[in-house]
Amino acid sequence: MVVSADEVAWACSELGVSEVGSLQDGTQKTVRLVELDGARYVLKVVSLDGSEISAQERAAREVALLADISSPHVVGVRSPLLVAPRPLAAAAWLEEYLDGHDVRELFGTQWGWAETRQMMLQLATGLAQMHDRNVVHRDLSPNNVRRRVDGTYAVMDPGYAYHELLSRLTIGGHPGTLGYVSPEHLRALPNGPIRCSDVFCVGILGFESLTTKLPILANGTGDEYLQRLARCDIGDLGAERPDLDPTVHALFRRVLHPQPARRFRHARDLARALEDLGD
Amino acid sequence: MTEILIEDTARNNLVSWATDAISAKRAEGVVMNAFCSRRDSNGYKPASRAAADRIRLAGGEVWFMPMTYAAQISGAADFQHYSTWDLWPGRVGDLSTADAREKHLTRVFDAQADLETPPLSPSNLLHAPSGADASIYLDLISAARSMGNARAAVLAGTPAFWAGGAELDAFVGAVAEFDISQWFLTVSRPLSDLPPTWGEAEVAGLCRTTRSLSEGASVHISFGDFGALPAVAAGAASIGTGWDGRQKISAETLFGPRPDSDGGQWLKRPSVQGLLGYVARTDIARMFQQDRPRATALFAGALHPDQPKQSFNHHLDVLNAVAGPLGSIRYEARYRLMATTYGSARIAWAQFSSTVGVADASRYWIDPLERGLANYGRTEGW
Repeated sequence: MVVSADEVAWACSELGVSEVGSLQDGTQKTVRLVELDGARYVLKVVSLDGSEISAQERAAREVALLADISSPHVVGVRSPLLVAPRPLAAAAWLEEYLDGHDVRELFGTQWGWAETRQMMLQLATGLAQMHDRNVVHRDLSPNNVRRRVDGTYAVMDPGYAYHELLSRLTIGGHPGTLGYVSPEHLRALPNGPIRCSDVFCVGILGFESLTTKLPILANGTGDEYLQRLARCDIGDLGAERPDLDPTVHALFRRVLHPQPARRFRHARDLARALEDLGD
Repeated sequence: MTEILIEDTARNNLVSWATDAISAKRAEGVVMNAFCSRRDSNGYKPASRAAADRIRLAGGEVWFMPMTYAAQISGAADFQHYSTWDLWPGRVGDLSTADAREKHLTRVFDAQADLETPPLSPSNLLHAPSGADASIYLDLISAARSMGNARAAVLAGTPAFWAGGAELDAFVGAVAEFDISQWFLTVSRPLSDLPPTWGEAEVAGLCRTTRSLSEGASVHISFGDFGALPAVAAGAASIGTGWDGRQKISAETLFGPRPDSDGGQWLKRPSVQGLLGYVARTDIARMFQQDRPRATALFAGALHPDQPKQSFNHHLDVLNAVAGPLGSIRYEARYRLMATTYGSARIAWAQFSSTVGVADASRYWIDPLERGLANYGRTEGW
């Protein structure tokens, strides 16, 4: 069910914010830029169509998670979750407004290792906060990683609910975005995405930033992509970027390893490795 | 160095033979289990706590494997010792509910505490790396962790489970997140034949799993014997073995009904280091008669008298000689050394076969393990 204008108006009223503009209008979720006392925030309004109680539960889980994390590399939540009274059917909350750009807008040219390392390190640092709480992001993609104007990176949109609602592709029952999923996304529970799947996805973003290509090509039909994903046909970073140090190639072999247990098993371990690697 | 842990036996000689082996530095410890040891003495078998104390006194480490996976085997019927542990509040093998899992775990950990052995989380019998079995395993280990007892864990599966390819790898990724520091990996076979009918995919799966888990933990290959060598090449730290067939293999048929309380048949066939397998005593004796120097090199020593304990000690020496050096080198070097050892064993089998006039059994003892090891090597890019 689409979020109605009345539900957006209710959310603005309850939170005391004024709408500046629309950032994203989905079928079950709308995202607006709002202001409060001169500061900008992001308002998220989720439709609760009555038949899907879990949508409210997932929204509550996402807000609770974000409220529990204090990291410059994870988007912050700025209000509690509010649930609209009947006959409205919506829930809303405020998040920190991140200036800058989604990294998708920045992936057109090959990045240097120093910038890629910064992105991967900061994403891993943010994800580590989630992994510490036994939360797996499961849908890391260039659409939900933001580079602020000051050059720092932040992870957005953690939580199954958001990803399930907005993802363009759902594989094996798990959220995911075409080209940005791990082989585990193909598996039925309980072998689905795990912490080291997030690590794999950080590797995808790092690979794309360095080469402008996905490590597992997402061209052709969906079936062809799924077959490549199942085989974990990883592109050759060494061939694409022979200028990089062999230790960088080795790091990517580990991050993008077909066997999940062979990767870094916690985002913090990846962050440490990136710190050790240097620019 | 790669270590040897002696698996349990239904005979009453576990303590005496194991402590002798530990004192002689042939083995490092014992894995007692609920199907072979009793909670209380019955006159023939000592009480497990007393046995554990004596093994520890000799300097050995002691583990207690609850054998939950074996209790779930449909033909399991040999509960004469197992029932003394009273590990199930309800139906034996039922792990279908959270309550059943928690109560079983509580009894397992209580038994281990009574023995003063480290907590060792049990495994259900996994027939496939996805689906209901896999879910129950993850629920079980998760419950063990919530009880504060998930530092060591058993992972037991059928050959089909270990041959699960990418599904197995994904499952291992999930279990690796529990940060277990000591793994006991077990292949539960349908039949107790020695040599077992190893499969390439199963051996490769055990190797990949060992390699993955060994990066953050110590891995023991339970009831592994010669079949554990590829996994040792992939990073396993210890091998389970013994003097009886049921210490060298975990097979469904070994948990079926048994008419008496003795330990079954001795495995009298001597192990031959150069062949990485067992041969008939008459065959190796014939080779000693025909070509003593080559026989001595192949056998690794003089042919001992036909006594089970001497066969056992020689077997430990053989395993230590082959697996020991693997334990002190890095992964790729381990793999290459083991591959070379298999190549040498294949040649030795051909020579032994022609010298003695028996069939070349390398297709049973060497081929499947060598192929599984090579399969693992290919996934590593070697």
